[in-house]
Amino acid sequence: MTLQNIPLFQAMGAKMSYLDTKQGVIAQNIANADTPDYRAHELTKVDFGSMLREVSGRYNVKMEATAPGHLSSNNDPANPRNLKSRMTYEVAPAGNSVIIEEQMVNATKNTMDYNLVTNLMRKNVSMYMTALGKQQ
Amino acid sequence: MDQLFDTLTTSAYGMRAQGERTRMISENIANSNTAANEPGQDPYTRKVITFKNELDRTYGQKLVKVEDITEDRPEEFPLKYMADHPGADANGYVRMPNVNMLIEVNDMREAQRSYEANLGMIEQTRGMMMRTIDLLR
Repeated sequence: MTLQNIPLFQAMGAKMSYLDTKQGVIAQNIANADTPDYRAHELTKVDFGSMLREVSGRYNVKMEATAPGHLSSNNDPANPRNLKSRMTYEVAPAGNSVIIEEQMVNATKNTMDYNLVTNLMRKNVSMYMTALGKQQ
Repeated sequence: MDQLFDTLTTSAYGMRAQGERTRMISENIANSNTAANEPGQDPYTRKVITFKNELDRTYGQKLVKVEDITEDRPEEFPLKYMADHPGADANGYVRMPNVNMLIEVNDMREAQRSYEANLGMIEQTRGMMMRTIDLLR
């Protein structure tokens, strides 16, 4: 049994991977802040709340996917889609809709979310450690 | 973690493009007084840079590249009266470069801001990576 098999950790891992992807999208936007006709992109939101309810439910029985061809269980998060964002502050005359301030705010939010997840993970690990009798 | 490395590459290429832009602006500023040396000749012509976002096959992701550095050719170069200059015409006027210091300095400021934004992105991504590695401790 590894940490990956604990549903809560699975959920947190999924969230981290989502935030990873989001950070990449924001970096792409900032790098293209001066590219003509570039439209800012954003990731569609994923409902991690319902996923968490799913994994923390008491009677959560699901089929195990043991081969790539198997249908995924409903524990897997929906794949976020990378879309051109419709709502931006403004579009420059050159057709570029990246506002660096807006993107920096997004990046900071993203980092804070990421820190939250890593802290949660650390807390949970220390809980397991305590249960195992190792004082941290 | 894999995507975080891709993020670093994206930001690094963004910085590289802005660096190239800064180099071009400094070239414009340095040549702001490079007049024509002979009456019929053109003086230094201001240069402009354009970026594009294209797929890089080595990295397998879209990266910012410099598309082209073109000359910003005006219809008429500004004239300056310098009768003893070797490039002066019959009336004593010399054709001067079409470099406007104000525009160049503001362009430079914009490049600097974009560079800093990319740098900020790298720093934040690095922080995220460090956090992830710290989970091991």
